[in-house]
Amino acid sequence: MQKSGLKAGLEIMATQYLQATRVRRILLEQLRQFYKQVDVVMCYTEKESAPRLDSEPLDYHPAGQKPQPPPPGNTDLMAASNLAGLPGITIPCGFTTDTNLPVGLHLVGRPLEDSVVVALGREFQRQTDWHRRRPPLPKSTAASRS
Amino acid sequence: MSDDILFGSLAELGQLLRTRQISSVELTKAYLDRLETLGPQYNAVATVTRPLAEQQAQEADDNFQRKHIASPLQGIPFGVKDLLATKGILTTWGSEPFRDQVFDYDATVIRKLREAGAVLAAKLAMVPLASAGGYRFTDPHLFGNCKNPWNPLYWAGGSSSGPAAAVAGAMVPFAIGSETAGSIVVAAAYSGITGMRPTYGLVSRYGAMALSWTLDKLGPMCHSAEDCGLVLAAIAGDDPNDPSSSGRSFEYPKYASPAPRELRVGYWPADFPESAAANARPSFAAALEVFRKIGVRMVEVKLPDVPYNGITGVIARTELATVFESLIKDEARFNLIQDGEQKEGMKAGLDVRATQYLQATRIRRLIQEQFRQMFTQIDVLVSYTDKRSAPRMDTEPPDPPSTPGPPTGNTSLMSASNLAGLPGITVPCGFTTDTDLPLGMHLVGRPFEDSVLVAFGAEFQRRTDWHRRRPPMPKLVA
Repeated sequence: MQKSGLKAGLEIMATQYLQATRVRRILLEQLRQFYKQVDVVMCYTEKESAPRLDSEPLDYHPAGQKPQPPPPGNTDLMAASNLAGLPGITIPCGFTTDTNLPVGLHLVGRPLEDSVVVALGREFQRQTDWHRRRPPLPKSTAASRS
Repeated sequence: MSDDILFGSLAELGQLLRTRQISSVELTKAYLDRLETLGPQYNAVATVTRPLAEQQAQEADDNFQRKHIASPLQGIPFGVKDLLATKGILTTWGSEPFRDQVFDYDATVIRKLREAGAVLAAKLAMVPLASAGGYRFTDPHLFGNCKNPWNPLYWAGGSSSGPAAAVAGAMVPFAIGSETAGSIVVAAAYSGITGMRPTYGLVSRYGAMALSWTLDKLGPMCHSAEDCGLVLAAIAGDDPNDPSSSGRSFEYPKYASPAPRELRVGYWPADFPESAAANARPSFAAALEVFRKIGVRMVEVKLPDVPYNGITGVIARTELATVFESLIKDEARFNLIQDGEQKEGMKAGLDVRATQYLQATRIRRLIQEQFRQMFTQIDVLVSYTDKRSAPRMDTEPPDPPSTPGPPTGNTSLMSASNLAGLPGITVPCGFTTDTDLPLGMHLVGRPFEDSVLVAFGAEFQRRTDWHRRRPPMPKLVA
């Protein structure tokens, strides 16, 4: 699987790659317009919590899959902000109701305004304590060395 | 109006206008008449913009009257290669599928020249799509082969053909051309004028046909280096509409540049006596003598052996296929292009793999780094602009060898410097011994040191008069 995934890029035609970079530039321009109205864009970091190791994760690195219609709202913020090179921070914002696994919020700012997302994240964390919760790890004995 | 005026420098024309010895209306009329009469004879013109020019000339005169002077170019007519968008005026890109194309906006360069008070007199002929897919003399195309004012059996060069011929033949005193891999400077050298390729990112390309957006540059084509400096000052500068815009500007003549005699000039001696055409060697040798008389330090340097032409080819082919993909896939429109070989050439880029393109861009970065190292020892690198003069149009120009060996010396400077985005200027340096056709020397500098090239070219032109020679053209009846 990984090997064929690595090889897949060899088949991409240069015009296809360059069209993608042109669309990326258009996206940059759109986001520039977008950020005239807002300072930070926010969505969930991932719509679900961590997958179980004993089941193949769905949808993870979907190389070779048919392109899906764009999901509503800002649910593509992860790909869009990475494409555009925008700074993003994820902050813990709670746990799933059944499996008790962490979930995060993704705050995305203007290029080189990393400080704005840090400030907003810090303010969020002044008002919450999700980031101070500790996982139920096995106790290590005092004598163990790492 | 006398030839002495019409072949004058931009500084001379500006002086005559500002002192009201001539009016812009008179001057513009004289050039428009030459464009309409000589233009068709040399296949140099796409569209003469007479009504606009007359109006802009009148506005310039009104401004002189009010002592309002926007720039040294105020009232001076010019032409542009027909790939710059001009609001409401045909912009054909020299190609059948675009022969009726009209944009509803002006290219940034057009806007800047208008704001400088210059007078747009003509859209000028060009090689179809600026040589996308190649060019052959024998195939039919929109404007016909552009004839060289020095001898109409020979080509004016390309793809900025019309700008080169129109300036050489004093149909306009300056023009704007475009260069992807030599289209300004080689056409200028073939036509005996001075042409400049600015640093990539110095002049906005907004409104210009894109051929290869990581290589395309717009620049001045004039009679002298000083004229190029004046025009570059008017067209350079930041533009949010061109993502490659560097934010830099260019001031002329108010710049600090080392005195030309203090420059270190890199060259490879064998380039000139060995690989140059035999009928061109004496002129190149004489030009090197002029450099020595200026007092520069000549330093022997040689470009690393890299397949510069091949790398340029991969990048240009791929980018132009991307730009023209929708045309290529629109069979009916694409087939309006009659030159089958051009169509094949345009399609070739569709077969390039992304990894191949990206490897070429990585090598390109190494080339830039090599130049950076080289330019710690020298300030300017020179070679001939082309090793020969303009080709005859009844013979196909010899194709570059399909398997080029390692380049010797700096004979690949044209593609290497274009790949690296370095500024270059060509200055006329004499004529061939038998055919009496112009030859040029190509001076290349560091990124954004365009002013050094203008200063060095101007010093060369203080000591030579090749740039003031006039071609043997038919006289216009008054």
